[in-house]
Amino acid sequence: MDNREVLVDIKNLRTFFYTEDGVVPAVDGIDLTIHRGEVLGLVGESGCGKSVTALSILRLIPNPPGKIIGGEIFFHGEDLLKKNEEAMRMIRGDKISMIFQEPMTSLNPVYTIGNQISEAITLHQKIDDAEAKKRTIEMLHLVGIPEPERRFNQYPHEMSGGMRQRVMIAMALSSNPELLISDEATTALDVTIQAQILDLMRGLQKKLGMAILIITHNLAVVAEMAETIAIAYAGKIVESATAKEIFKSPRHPYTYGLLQSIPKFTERKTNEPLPAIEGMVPSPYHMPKGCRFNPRCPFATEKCREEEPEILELTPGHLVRCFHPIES
Amino acid sequence: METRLVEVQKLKKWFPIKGGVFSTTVASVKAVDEVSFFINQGETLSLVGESGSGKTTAGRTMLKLLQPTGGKIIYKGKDITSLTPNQMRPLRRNMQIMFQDPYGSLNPRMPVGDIIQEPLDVHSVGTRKERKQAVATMMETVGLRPEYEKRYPHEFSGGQRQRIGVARALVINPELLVLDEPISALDVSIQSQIINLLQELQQRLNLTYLFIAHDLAVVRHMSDRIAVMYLGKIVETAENDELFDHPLHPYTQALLSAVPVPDPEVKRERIILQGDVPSPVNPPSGCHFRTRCPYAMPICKEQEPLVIEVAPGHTVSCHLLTKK
Repeated sequence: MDNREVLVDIKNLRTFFYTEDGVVPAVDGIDLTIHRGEVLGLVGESGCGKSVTALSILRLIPNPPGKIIGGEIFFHGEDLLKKNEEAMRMIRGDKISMIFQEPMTSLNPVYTIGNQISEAITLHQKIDDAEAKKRTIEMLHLVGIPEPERRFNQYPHEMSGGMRQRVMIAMALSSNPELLISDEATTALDVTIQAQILDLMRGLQKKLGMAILIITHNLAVVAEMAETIAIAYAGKIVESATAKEIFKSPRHPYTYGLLQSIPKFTERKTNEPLPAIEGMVPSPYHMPKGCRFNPRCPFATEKCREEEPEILELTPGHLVRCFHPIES
Repeated sequence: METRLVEVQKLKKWFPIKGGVFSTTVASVKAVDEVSFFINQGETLSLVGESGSGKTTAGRTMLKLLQPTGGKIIYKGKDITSLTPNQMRPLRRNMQIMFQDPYGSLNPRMPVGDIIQEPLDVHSVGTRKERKQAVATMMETVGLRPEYEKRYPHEFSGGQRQRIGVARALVINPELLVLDEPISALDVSIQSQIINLLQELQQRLNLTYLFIAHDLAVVRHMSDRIAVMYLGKIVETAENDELFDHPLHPYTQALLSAVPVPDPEVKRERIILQGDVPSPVNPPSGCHFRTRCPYAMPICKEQEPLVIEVAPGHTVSCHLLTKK
């Protein structure tokens, strides 16, 4: 029934970190499917494994201490986890690119931005320097940087945070990727600048048609950007569905609690307390037995404390990992 | 009639930039430039604005943690602008501050019991036994177990550390609490816990809050009144609902429209501002917002707009409103 072409298919990905204090199952059985041209939002709190998932796709997990210990990541039907380093390097920054939260630390401070973008272009495309420069200026223009010819020769410190994030996007898109991974790309920005960058990403996605994996903790950002949303908690996907479904009828108690607990910008002030989720995210060294959300879940039963639920398709396209899903 | 607890009039805080051979002042960062607002007893005034708007500096200058460059600070009818640190000390008991960073604002070498007790020691409140008792009661009030008093900050999560921050600020029984982005470093599911704690304590202890934040959804939930800052100036002040229902300043309108809404079925008209916030060293002439304002007129470049009261308690400073 879903006849869109699958671009990325992650099956039971498990990435663990082996530290002196013990094993951290940062990603412990994540499944995700991204279709061609789709915008997928991966949402979760710190430590839920969302960034590690992104780094696993690109095989950028620092080893040691990290290691992908299981699962498959199919990209165009080929398992990225079986590829050698040489082959991965041809994919990174070419067919799959990524933008990070902190543009200042992702850009090299001693090279001009023109230099850095051209480098990314010549690395993957067989073109000469003059051609690369032309393409770089085109890209800077595309992401809305005024006077791209002059900016070409500027250094990162000469630009504002919003401009730097545009440079990162220009660099990421210069290779015409099929998948763009955006890891909290607008989190460090001010709201009016965030609105600019989100608007830009939306526009470019429509124009260029690439798929985007948006990783964020901000539910409002995915509500605006994503068609499909996956909610991660403590290393697992607990719910995934279309954005409309997630917001209209969340079925997992964590998703429901999260949506209830955020103050609504459109609602008048009351002195009522917000319906907060009690407790806190479990320590990765001591994951609770059974369902990982059970210590904080108002509906938890004996079964939840003993057994781990599987993720099930409750209604077409709506997957939930819970023994007692909330009625829709 | 509500009583004014604190009021600032034309408050200025400029930071000098030194340069040249003799290290003379070559320019100033006008972080806060003639800002006026007041806070009534028991209410929450929110200062909102983007980074560099001067909201944090305004809060700290109001507490005289920074010496103002100009203007007046009136606390309970008394001008405290030129009080010396010694003269300020008895007043400090009444005004406390809580910071954004739960990792940077607690001394890592002090057990949390001592951290919370420190304000009592500084102000020599009660006997040793009474102080210990006050710490235990306060820990319970903010939802920390009193037996954790011997633990060190690194043993606590971000949310718990913010509870320690609240306990330290409130143990001395202040009237006024400045909350400087108290929840923005926390995870979503923890944010609501701290918001609830702050609101509950406010009602129980009749606290007055100056809430400094950039997250407008939280501001809407917490505030009685809101002042919007842009580049060192307050551009608009109004009661909570009034501001969200009838924003009049073009910057407030853009700011409100830029906030993403957690509902995919809501489609809103969005005002996307062009460009970035200019440098506060060299702000634009006239109205500071004119370089990004979609309605900028010639007069905006020449004259600074006056503050006009458009409705009771709703003030705006924009030339669009004086034109008619």
